[in-house]
Amino acid sequence: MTKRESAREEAKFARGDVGVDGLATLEAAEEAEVQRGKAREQFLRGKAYLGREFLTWLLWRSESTEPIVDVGGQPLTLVLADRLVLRGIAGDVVETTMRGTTAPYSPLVKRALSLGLLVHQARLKLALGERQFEVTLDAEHVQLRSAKLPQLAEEKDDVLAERLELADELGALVQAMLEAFLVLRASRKWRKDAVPALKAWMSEGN
Amino acid sequence: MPIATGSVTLTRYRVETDAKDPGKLLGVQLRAHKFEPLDRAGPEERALGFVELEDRDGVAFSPGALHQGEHAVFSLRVDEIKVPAAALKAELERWLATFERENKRAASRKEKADAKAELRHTLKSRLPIQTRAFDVSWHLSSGLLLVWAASRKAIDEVQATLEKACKLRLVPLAPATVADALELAEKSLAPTPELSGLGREEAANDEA
Repeated sequence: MTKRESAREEAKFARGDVGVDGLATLEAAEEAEVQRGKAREQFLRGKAYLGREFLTWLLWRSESTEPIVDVGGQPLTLVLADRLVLRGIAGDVVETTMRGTTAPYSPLVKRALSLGLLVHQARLKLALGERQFEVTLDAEHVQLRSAKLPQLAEEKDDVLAERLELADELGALVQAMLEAFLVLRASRKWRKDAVPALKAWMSEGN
Repeated sequence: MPIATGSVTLTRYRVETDAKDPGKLLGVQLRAHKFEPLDRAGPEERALGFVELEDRDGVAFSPGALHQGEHAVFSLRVDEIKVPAAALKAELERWLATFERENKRAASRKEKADAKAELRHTLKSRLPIQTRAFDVSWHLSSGLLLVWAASRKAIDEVQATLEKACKLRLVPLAPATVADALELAEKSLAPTPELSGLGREEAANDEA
């Protein structure tokens, strides 16, 4: 062993990374605990759990194909598609990704949700009247990612103005759904009706 | 220019400002923090400032260039010269070998530091400037501002630069801030234990 390698080994021991036998001190169980701690921190940071509950609620509401809210007198409907990221804090699995056109509505997803995972990121297809939008939402920032805006105008100048309007409109649609969820969540109906209904829906996957 | 084509990634903010008509001063404020090109001979390796949306070199911000209907539109331009550490290291090793051969001794710490700075400067003059621009649209009457960028670092930089330049506060429209704006009771915002697996008491404690 060279002098440098020897110094490295001593430093690892001094940091507590390895024991006197030279083996790693961090056991698998401890690593899992560290991972759960991180998952929990992500869950609570900036009240990210509100976003996760919001996306989970959207998944549940969208399965019936009934409008989520009315915006400007028009019903807003949505479906989740393609890719769904679930995150949890309590069990062995802290994150899983489901892919597939109808994956969000699969029994596997419901089973995962019934075990305490929540939707962290989802791809939404929104329809308001004749206009259709697609967007990926994440729970923490509710940032509008990879959004596809409907294209209606043909002239270049009109396209810019139109896209500005449509981007604002997409933001307003997400805002309307988020506000509807938060108002429901702060009401008695949340614990009394919505949560039991959500749990019953999740148990369909068992 | 993401505003004009393709799929987009947007971060939404609510603008909070004391100004009665923030759009009126916007052109002046953006001009005061306009983009200044990077001087290759100077020590700076990064330049940042506002430019017009449709002209990455335009910094006049005339009403026609700045306003699009009810929106104010502009971009934050960031020019950067990145000297790759590996290239600098290779050049320095070559210089050290030449120095030892010519002087029959190793270079002192100061000589090495001076050579490194010189080589960095030489490399900087040879490397291309990387230009990026992040678009911003601001619906002036509703106070809704969108940053058209995907990178979290870039978004935070746009937010900080804009807040400083225009003396305003940008409140991100995330679930927690929307709940605040709706004036929902804080205790109703604790995690739902039945859904997350977080214990009821634990949820209340974490929220507190």
